[in-house]
Amino acid sequence: MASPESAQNTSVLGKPTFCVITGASRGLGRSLAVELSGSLGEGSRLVLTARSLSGLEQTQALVNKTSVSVKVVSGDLEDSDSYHNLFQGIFSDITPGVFQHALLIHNASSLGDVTKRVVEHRDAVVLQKYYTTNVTSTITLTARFLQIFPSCDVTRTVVNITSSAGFTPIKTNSLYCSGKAARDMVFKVLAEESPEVRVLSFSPGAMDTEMFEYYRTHVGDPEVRTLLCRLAEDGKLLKPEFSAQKLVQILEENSYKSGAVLDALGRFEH
Amino acid sequence: MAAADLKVATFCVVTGASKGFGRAVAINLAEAVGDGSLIVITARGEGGLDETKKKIEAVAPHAQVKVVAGDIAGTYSDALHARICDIPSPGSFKHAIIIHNAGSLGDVSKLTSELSDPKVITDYYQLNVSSVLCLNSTFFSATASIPNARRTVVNVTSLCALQPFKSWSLYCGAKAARDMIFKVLAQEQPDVRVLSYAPGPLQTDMAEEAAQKTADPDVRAFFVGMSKSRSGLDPDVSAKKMVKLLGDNKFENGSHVDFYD
Repeated sequence: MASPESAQNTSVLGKPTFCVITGASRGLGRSLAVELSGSLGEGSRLVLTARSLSGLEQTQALVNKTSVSVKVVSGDLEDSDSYHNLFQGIFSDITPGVFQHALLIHNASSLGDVTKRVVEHRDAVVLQKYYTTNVTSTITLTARFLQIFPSCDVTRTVVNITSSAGFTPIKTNSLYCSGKAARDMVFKVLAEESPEVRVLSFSPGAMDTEMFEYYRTHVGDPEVRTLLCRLAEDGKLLKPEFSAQKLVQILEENSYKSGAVLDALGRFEH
Repeated sequence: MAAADLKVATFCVVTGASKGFGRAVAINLAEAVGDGSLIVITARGEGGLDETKKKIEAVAPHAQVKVVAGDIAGTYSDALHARICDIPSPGSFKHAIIIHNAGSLGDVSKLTSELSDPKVITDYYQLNVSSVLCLNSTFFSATASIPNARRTVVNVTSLCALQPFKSWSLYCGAKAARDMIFKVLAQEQPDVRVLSYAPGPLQTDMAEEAAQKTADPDVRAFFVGMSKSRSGLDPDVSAKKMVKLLGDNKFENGSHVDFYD
């Protein structure tokens, strides 16, 4: 078996893969589950997690189960006291040697209060919850994932679903922008520290999802709202299936530089 | 952009002012501002704050100094923030400045893959990101009562906001988050001068901690070398540069400026 350091450019998706997708109850998370299920090798397992069990079960019903077994585990990433149980549920019943590839996709995220300007954010509890959900959860879940699948046996891939908001400041979006900026940086550090792990930050573009609809109808800044409404009206919103397919293509090619931030439409690469 | 007249009655807040860069900033800012200014210095270490106060009074007798000791990210931080931002006779000030300097290195003995305790991470973001937002918000409400006052906000940042450093993911992530918050602030409020200032590698307790605890051998070697040769930047030199930047007032709003730029 190829040494883990040469994992770049070798095909990994077609191997028996243990794959976790967070926020898999709808939107991009659901599309990722569906697209990946068609690409993962025989004997793969897909673990879907989110808050909504019914949403997860609907995703489970849509997924191609020819080669892949699917498990759903509901939990709330805002509640760090529950991580121990949640992670135990996600990583249960893994027989050593079965999987040759392990893939973790940090897709779950929240917008935070998009009505507030920076100077209006005053509630420490609200902010704590925001960074717990969007930053803390990704770090600790990654740590657990890498412990469960040590490097000598298995190629590991970690994907951070990010946004251009991670490097473009947007009015009334300081929480979302700063959460993505933090995540993008943390994943760059991870890539430097652990060169044997394939680390990718992927920006899916503005998509036709419930998150975008919420954003468009609630965002406080009028200029931003106008921009978002125009995107929707001009039919420029991407289908989440499209963005999911792009990510699967990138993972299949496996040629990206570890730690890079890539865009679904190829508009930027950091 | 026209130069900023710092020599006016100014309401200043400096966090983490009990030592290191925060102390140097408080002293240099006090010298730069005008008669009738009030410098509020805050940190957890009351002893350090008292020492900072003495040093300010020695060089800037025209400025009044108020010491507010406490934990800006602690349980009673709302009340602490209110005390920090309490402005007596708002009508007497022409300028309000806040320097968000307080911060911590975080656990640099662990790689990202070893950060298993969510409480450690959340507490870290509470101090280095959330409390900054909260205090900043209180500062803005309080200074709204100063008629026609200019407002200046400084985020003390780092090269780590721009570049990843092994075993420093907590510090790098939080600095990246902060830089972004202040870019958004600059966009939302173009009338406020917003600067993210990276002071350079300073000779401070934080650098000593980095030398002793950093897990990654390359990053640790840099700080050990700096410690042995005492070649870290003098915080006073970096603070003077920061004050000059504020006075010259040429920086792009919301931008990240490094000591070495």
